[in-house]
Amino acid sequence: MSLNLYNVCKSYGEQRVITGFSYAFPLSGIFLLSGASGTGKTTLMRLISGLEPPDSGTVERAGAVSFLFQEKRLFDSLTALQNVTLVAPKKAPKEETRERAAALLSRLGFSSDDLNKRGNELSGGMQQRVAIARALFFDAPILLLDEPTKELDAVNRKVIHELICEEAKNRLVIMASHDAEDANLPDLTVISLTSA
Amino acid sequence: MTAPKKLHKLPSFIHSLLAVLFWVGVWWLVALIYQKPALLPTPWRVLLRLVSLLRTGTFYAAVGTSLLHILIGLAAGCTVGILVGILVAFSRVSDTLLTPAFSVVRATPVVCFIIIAWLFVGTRALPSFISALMVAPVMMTSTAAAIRSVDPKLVEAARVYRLTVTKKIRALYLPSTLPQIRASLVTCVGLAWKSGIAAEVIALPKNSIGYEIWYEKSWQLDFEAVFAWTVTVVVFSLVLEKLVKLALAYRKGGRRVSQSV
Repeated sequence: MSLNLYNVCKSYGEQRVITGFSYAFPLSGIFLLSGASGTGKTTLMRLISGLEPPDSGTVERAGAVSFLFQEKRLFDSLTALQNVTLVAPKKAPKEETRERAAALLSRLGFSSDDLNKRGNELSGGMQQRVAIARALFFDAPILLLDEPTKELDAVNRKVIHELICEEAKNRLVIMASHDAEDANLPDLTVISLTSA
Repeated sequence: MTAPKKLHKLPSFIHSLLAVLFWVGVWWLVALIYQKPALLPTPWRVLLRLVSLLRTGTFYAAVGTSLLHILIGLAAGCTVGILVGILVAFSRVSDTLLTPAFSVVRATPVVCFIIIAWLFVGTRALPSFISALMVAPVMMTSTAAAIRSVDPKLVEAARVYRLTVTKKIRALYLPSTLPQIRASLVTCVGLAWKSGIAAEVIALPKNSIGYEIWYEKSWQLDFEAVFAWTVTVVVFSLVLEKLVKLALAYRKGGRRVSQSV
């Protein structure tokens, strides 16, 4: 068991967002949180990541969480490559880290010139791909992806889907998405959320 | 009423020069009307007096001593201000204790601090101490404000990705705080200079600009010299601010800082 949520509730003021959510996630696989806007997909991800505590219930997770936020949240003063290598472990060899990160970004369509562009010099789609690369690069048993294919064209969406499927063999991947194509991934388990 | 179109085409330094000449002209006119050259000399007399001062070793010794006092104070004040600003931004207890104290320092007239501090730090250290005291609250406020203005979403991302303190400083806090600290540094240079000279006029450390101003006024009754030293203070204040701006512009544009993370 990688992640276990038991009877989790969360409200913001008077607004109840999640009521009594329980689920035991395995060590690996792809899970899609589906539901209309306001049903608590992002809130649930924030609870899983530990950014917010639940009002009641428990969230038990084994290890760190990597999170692709809805907003890209890149560090604008760093290059595309540096944004990815930033999340490498402290003692990781620098040269090897740079090579792995460059290879990942290359797979996501980045040229060697693009690697040295700063966050605020990249287009929206490139920023999204850097954010995805960073989330994939961070070594954590749980990977949360909030709208991973947003702002991406069909070619890049296909690459992202391939990467997600590869990651899901070794770690737990939980996605939130409105994109119909994301729901067609193989071996996908859908968790439907409704309004609290 | 708009300025003639041709005026807009002139380089900006010509605008500044014309403004200076205008006010020098006003000064000259007032001096001529007042007709007491011993108390209000004309700009020409002041210039001649300044030229004569420039030929003396006293001038360079005084400028050198004052610069040293005040640069020490500026460095100390900036260091303390930045460190306290960081503390206040991250610690609520520190914020509660220290921010009101620094606000009192900002609100108190500098001459009150000069007179009180003189008793405790002595004549030689007073200019540096006062410069530091005036600069620290400015630096503290801008540092704390800059840290607090860091995007909370990026702070969350740093938390999720378990960034080390060093990485957080390099990727998150330095890029956000440095521009504000740089801008405050330009303000602080002028503030340190003026408050340090004021301290010198009261405490009278030997071989300083403040001492010379007092000496010329109290012993020599040489107001041409007092005005000449005042012009020196103003010119150095502007030159120091300009040098700091140029140094910061060079660092920002002329050399990329290595950011290996």
